[in-house]
Amino acid sequence: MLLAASLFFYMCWKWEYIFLLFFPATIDFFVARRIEKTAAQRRKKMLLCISIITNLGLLFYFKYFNFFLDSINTTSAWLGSPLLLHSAKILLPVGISFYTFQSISYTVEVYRGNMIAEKNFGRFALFVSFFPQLVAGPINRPQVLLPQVNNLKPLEADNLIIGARRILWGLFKKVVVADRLAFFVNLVYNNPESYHGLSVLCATIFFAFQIYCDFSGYSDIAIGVAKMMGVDLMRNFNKPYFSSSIREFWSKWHISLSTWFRDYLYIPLGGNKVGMGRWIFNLFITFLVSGVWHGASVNFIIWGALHGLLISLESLNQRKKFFNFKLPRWLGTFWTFSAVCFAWIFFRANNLHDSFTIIKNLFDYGHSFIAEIRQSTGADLYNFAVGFPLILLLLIFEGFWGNQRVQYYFYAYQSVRFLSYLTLILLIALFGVLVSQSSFIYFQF
Amino acid sequence: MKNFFIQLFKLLLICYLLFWLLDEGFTYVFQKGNYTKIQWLDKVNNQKFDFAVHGNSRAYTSLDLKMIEQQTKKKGINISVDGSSITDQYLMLKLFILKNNKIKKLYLQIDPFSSNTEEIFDFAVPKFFPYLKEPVVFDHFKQFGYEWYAYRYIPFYRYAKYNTLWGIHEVINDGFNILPQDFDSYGDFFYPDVAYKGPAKLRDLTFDLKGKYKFLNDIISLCKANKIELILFTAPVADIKIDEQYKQNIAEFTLQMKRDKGVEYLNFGDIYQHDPTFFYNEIHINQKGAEDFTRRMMPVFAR
Repeated sequence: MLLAASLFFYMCWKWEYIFLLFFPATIDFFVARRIEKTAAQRRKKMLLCISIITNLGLLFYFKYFNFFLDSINTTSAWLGSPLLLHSAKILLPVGISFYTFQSISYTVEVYRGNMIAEKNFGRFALFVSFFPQLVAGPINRPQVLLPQVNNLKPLEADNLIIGARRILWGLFKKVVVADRLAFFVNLVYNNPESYHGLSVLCATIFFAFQIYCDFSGYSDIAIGVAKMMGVDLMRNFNKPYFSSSIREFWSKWHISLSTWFRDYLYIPLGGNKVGMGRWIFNLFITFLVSGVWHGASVNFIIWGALHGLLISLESLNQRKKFFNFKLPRWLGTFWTFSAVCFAWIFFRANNLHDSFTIIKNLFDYGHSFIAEIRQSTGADLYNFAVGFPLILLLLIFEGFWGNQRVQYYFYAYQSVRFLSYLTLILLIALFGVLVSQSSFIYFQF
Repeated sequence: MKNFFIQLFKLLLICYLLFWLLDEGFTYVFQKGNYTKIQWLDKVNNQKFDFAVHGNSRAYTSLDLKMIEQQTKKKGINISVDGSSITDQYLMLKLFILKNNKIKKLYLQIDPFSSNTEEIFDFAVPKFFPYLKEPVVFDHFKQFGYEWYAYRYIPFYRYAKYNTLWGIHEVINDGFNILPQDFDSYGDFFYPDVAYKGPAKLRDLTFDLKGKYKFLNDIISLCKANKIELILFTAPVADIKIDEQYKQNIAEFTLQMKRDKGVEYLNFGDIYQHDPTFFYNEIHINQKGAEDFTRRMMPVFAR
């Protein structure tokens, strides 16, 4: 039933692409079973390679093939003998980056002997296609998700309540904060020549919260929907903007992806159990690949490289003690947030040229902020004006939620819970963007 | 599980009551407000006018009624609403007449690209929301899709969906009359004289000579029933492709209107050709253009 619902959910987008979901899943299912039965290590490795090549091959073709052709065209033109390779008409299957990674983790875990291969193809197909997390994660580990889909519980009131609560919170983050902030972000980032100084700074801060609320909002909705069905998905965000270092940020941002890269790329490369140079290389390459995973463009590569560079420097300093003093936590948080925001410029800008224009204009304070804001009228002005209060509200909510006394009152008194739900529903009705057809940012990955 | 459904029912009930209260409160404040053109027009009751100008933003921004009044001594009102289509214009006129206002002549601005439409432009959907519970308004809109039933019967749904326009900020604005209206006491609005460079590309702008013109016909019937003389006109456009086909189409449309409907049609669409100095953008004239266009139309108003 749940498998049928998941397949229907995916087919609503483009029914033909259901085969793309099934093709690697079928290969991984049989490969994993064969790995389990095979004693020879070399043969096991070969089977694992088949699984990885199938998944990454699909990902490469659908996500990176055109970028690859464009890069060849650009490089050959630069070298003086232009090749005019025509790009293919490829529509990126939604969620491909997520379900291929989830599938890879399954065969790797079977290969490592950390779990036994699934015997029932239907259950395995449900693990790959479980609809709440199919299109944008969280990327769940097979050891955690497979036993749960194998042993689905009947509906329980507690799960329904916890799940619905999580969905409501996710909706608040998505439609109230993310979508509202998106208007001003789009205004500035789609016209980078026209905005300078504070306008660009505000738009960049807005984007930091937009992408956080958009993606973590989606994750909350996915986790909530799964919880209602009695399935616990892994936590994907944990107040990342309160981090006081880049390393801490990455332990709290898109946790399911960063731990995936840690377990299946960084550690196999040697992790930190190698020489200094190799360790820094491992760190850098992991973040570079993470950037490439996000999209086929130079901007994402630079974004990944920037994070790789920052975390490498941080780790280097940690080991070598170049700066032997500890920043106060608030200063560390400020620095981390500033660095993350700077990197977001490359993530959000429409192209490399725009990224540099935005960076140049970010430091240009020779224009009147008021005049630039007043260029926008009506709804744009309103969207800008409510931006910071909404961010503040989000931070207050997230800050308060960490407080044990608040949690005690919340769980002890039904009236407090009702009041919280009503507040969120009211905020969604009063400030949510309910009219535009805005999709989730991470659907494109 | 039973307890869960009881709690859920309670929450939904509280939500319903809360949104019902909000709906009533917001509607009350918005109906008292005077900020948008429709709110302003809603307050015009039992008045007599020599003429009214009606249409979309191209009528809203094209004529200086104060100048017309000074020169012709005729009292006029601009009942045009920006972003409206002919469907809403019909409703606006109907409401204006129902409020016991009298008009002798109605100058209706029509365009080849919108006068035959039977749809509402997205931009205009929320404009009448505070008045949606009035039977005339709902009866008009319900023909445009089932969503209008949701707007009408689900408390607060319409204000929540369009909260950028009818949000809490507008409650504050209408409640305390904070922002001034952007139109004058005649209902006119003028675009500033900005540096418009002229049209990038010219368009074929011709009337559909076989069109049904459903709402235009409804306006014609409404005017006849209320003894209002109707004059149709097209305000200047910067990007019309002025060729033989265009000229023939205008001539045929003018003839058709006179012959079949008994209505006069005056075309000013091409009077400035493509001269950018009179325009704010492709389809809107600027303040200088409005002054000049009013002067050119003065003999028509003086009749």
